[in-house]
Amino acid sequence: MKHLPDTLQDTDAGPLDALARDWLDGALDPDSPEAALARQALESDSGLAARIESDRAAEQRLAAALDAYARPQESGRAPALIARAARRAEAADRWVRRTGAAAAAILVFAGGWMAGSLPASDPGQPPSELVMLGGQAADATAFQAGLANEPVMAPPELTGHGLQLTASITRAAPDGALNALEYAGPQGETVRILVRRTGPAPSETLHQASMDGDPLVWWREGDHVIGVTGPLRRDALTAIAEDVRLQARGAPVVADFSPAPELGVQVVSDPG
Amino acid sequence: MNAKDLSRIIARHLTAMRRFARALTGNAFDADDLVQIAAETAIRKRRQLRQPDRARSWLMTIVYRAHLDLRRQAARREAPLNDPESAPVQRTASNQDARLACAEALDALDALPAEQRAALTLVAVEGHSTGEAARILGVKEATLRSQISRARSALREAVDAEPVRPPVRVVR
Repeated sequence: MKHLPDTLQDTDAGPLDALARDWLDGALDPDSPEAALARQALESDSGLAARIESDRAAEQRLAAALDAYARPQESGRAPALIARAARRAEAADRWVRRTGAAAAAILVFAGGWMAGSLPASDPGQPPSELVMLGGQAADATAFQAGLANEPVMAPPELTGHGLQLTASITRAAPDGALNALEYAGPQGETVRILVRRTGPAPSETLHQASMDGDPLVWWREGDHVIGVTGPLRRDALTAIAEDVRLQARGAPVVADFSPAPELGVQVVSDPG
Repeated sequence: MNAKDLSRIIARHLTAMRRFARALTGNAFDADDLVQIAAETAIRKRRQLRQPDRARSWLMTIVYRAHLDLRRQAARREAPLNDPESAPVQRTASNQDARLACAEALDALDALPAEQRAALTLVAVEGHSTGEAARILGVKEATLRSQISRARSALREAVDAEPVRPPVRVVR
């Protein structure tokens, strides 16, 4: 038995065969230790090359057999298969959103009942950090400074809710900027995601509130407070907020400032 | 990435997904279902595809995970997915010659344990590196190499690996 590196000794004969295959395929650097091992293996085992050739022939037959199954459908039925998959995925998404919203409503109701209050039907006050959207504007200098350094949230994809991203807006606030991502709904309604840096705070569950006459669902996420508001039913807004929260957790909450021109999104400098 | 873009990506890799699905399931009917489910899952989870240049590995991983789910469901129903009685093998080779030439190899593949089928197909048929295949299957590379080695041995024993020759035609 020839000497093998430790990494190769702890498995069966596979590594040597694999090395020899790689060598015969020309995939090994001729000066590498692996190439030396492969050459040594082929020299010392006269049947190895024949075995590898035999394996290749079997695998070519196998590939041909699988191709014979896979290819005939490719041209004819592939578009139908993919279209059906897309339709079913969309239907499943809708179902998840509906059951998610229903479950959220039940949880809020049950939580409220157990705590002796009903937060879902008794919207509280919005967090002060988000109220600044409708508040007083800072002077232009402060706004520009805030705009230059303030990160924005990577825009969540909400097409599943019928929402298309239309604008990324930064508004001035006395102690920094507040970012708003605007989405247009199917009826022309505007849904806004408001993001404001607040400093470290534990992540929270969703809170219900109202802002400018519309429902607001908000929560704290890392260094930010995030709110979703628009002229929608509270359960629909909650479902959107859940989705935003999931996406924000799947990716960094904030990203480098980028207006996403490929989406036609413009940065609107609107100091108020 | 929107659903339309991902649909285009799936279309590009559909043949590979179908080959892998056929290798995993052992029959055409279950392979069709598996690809349908995997395509659906991919479209739903499209936001998770951060690197489009790795779409093929990503889709193969989804096919494999969907297959494991289906096997678990089948086990719960006590109706094995690969039961040849309940799901007869359907060979759809384009012609009789190809069918005869390939049947042996396909039978040999179907006789392998599921993990070996998956490993061998990804590396030997689909051309993934052992590292990529190990990531797709969620195993260590050494384990994958070992599975491939065993699969090749079994395939070698089962198949007469002489090159495929066309049958002799008598011309009068």
